[in-house]
Amino acid sequence: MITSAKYKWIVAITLVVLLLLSFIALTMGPSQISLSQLWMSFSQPENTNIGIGQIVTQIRLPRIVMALLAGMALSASGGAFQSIFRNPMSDPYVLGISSGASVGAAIAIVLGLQVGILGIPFFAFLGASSALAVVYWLAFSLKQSEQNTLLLAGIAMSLMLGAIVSLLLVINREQMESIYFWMLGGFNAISWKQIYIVLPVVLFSLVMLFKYCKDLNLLSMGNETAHSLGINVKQKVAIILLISALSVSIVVSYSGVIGFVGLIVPHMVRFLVGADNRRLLPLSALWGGIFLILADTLARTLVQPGELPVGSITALFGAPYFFFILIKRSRRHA
Amino acid sequence: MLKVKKELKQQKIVVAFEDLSFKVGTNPILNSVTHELYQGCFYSVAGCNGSGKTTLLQTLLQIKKASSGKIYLPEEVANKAHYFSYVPQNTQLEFDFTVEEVVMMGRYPYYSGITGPSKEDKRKVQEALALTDIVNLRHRSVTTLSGGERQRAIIARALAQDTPLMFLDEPVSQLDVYHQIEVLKLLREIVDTQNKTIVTVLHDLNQVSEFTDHVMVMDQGCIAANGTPIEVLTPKLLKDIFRVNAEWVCSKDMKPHLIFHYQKNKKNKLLE
Repeated sequence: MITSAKYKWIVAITLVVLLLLSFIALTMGPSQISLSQLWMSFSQPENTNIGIGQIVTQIRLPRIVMALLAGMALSASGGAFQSIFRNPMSDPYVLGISSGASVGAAIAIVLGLQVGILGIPFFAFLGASSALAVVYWLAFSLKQSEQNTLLLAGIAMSLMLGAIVSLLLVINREQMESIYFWMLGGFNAISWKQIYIVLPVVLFSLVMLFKYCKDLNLLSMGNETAHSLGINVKQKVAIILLISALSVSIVVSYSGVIGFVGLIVPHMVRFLVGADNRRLLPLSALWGGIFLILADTLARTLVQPGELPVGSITALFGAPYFFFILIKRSRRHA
Repeated sequence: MLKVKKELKQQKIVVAFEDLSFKVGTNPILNSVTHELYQGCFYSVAGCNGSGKTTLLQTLLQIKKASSGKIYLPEEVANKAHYFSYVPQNTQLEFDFTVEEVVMMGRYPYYSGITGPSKEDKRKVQEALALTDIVNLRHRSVTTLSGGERQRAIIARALAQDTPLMFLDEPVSQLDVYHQIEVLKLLREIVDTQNKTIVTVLHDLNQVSEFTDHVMVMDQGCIAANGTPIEVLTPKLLKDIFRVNAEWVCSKDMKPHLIFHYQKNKKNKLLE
C-alpha cells in the first residue's frame, strides 16, 4: 500500500506530464509551431499570426481537450468494469458497449435522426445501454467463476454489432464515407461546440464513478462479500454501468470507437498505486487522458500530411497487452 | 422478511427464523426451516452436498431472497452489515489489494468516503490482524498469499466488521490440517472471549464435535436434527443421512471421536 504522501507526488507528477505533453502536442502537426509562437498565441493573441492562432485555439486545442476527456472517460469506465466483473481484461470495448454505441450512432446517421447536436449521442446511448443490458443479464446469470465466459460473450456481441454496422454501410452507400470515417475513430473534426456537450457529461460521469469507488472495491471481492458488507449489488452495478455507458456513448458519438484504452490504462496504473479504486480511478482517468493525447499526436504526425485513425494506434498497443494479461492471469490461476 | 421481536433479547437469541423456504422454480432447496441462534454459541451446519447448508446461510443473510418464512432479530438494525458478517466459500481475490486494505473493507459500513476511517476503525483492523496472526503480512498483496494466509485475511475482514453474528461457509475446506485447526481454534476463541455467535458450515464431523457447541444437520433442505454434536451425531443418523458406518470412541485424552468403518472388499459405488 502506498502512502498518501507518495500518492500525492504521483498525482502531481502525472499532472506535470499531462501539461507538458499537451503543450508539445499543440506544437506538433502538419504545420510546425515553435514553443515561443505557442506561448505568444496564449499570452499576446493580438500580436500573433492569425493562422497560428487559429490552428492552436480552433483546431489543435479542441482535439487535445477531446482526447483528454475521451481518455478520462474510457479509462475510468474500464477501471469500473474491471472491478464489477472482477476481471482485469474487461473494458467497455471488449464487452461490446462501445460497439453498441457505434451501432446506435450509425443508425442515427443512416436514418437521418441527427436531431440537433444531441441526436447522435442520444442514439449512441440507446445502443450502449442495450448492449449493457445484455452484459448485465449475463453477468448475473453466469456463475461468478465463469466471468471469462462473459468476456467471450462480449467479444461475440462486438462482432455481431460490427456486422450490423457493416450491413448499414452496405445498404446505405451514399453515407458510407461519413460512417466509415467516423467509425475509424479520431479527433480530427472536433470543435469547441462538441467539447461543450462532452465536457459536462464526462465530468458528471467521473464525479459519480469516483463517488462509488468504495463500493467498487467491495464488488471486486465478489457479489456475496459485497452484499454482506451492505451493498445492494444489483442496484449498484446497474447504476455504475449506466454511468459508464453514458460517458462511453458521448465519447463514441464524437470520436468513434477507440478500443483498449479502458483495458491498458487501469491495469498499468494498478502497478503504480495498487488496487484501491479510490486511488486507482482518478489516476487512471488522468493517465487515460495522457495516453489518448499521445496516441492522437502520433496519429497526426507519423504519416504526414495524412492522418492515422487513433483507434488503430490504441489497438496496436492494446491487443498485445490483452495477450500479456491473458497469459499472466492463466499463470496465476494455474 | 426481516422483523424485530424484542422478547428475543431477554432470551439472548441473536436471530430466529420460522418456516424459512427457498425455491428455484418449483424445486425446494430450503424447506420450511425453523430455528433460533443464541448469543455466545458456536454453531456448525453439517450435511451432504446439496442439502441446503449454503442456501440456509445465504437466505439468513438475505443474499438469496426467501420464498417464504420470517427472520426475527432482537433489535432494530439500521445497517445489516453492522449485525451480520459473512465469509463465503470462495472469496474472489483478483486484484492486488494489500492484506490491510482487505481487512479495512470490514470497516467500510462504518465510515463514509469523505470522512475516511476513524481511529476506532483503524484500531479494529489492527485487532483483527493481531487475532488472526497476520500483522506481519499486512502490506503483502492478497494475491501472493498461501491458502491458509488468505483465509485468515478473509476471516480478519469479517472480524473487523465486528458484528454479533458471523457466518462462515466452509472456512477450512481449502486448508491443510494444521491451518484447519488454527482457524477453528481462532473461531472458538472468538466465541469464548467476545461472546459472539458463529455459524459455520463444516464437513469434518470430528471438527464439529471438537470445536462447536451445537450442530444443525441438514438433509434435503430441512434441519433433520440439531443439538450438541454428541447427542445428534448418532451412528443411526450418520448411517441414514451421511450413508456411512461410524461409531464414537474415546481417545486417550478422554475426548469422544468418530471412527468411520468401511468394507475393503465392497465395490465402490462411485467407481461403478
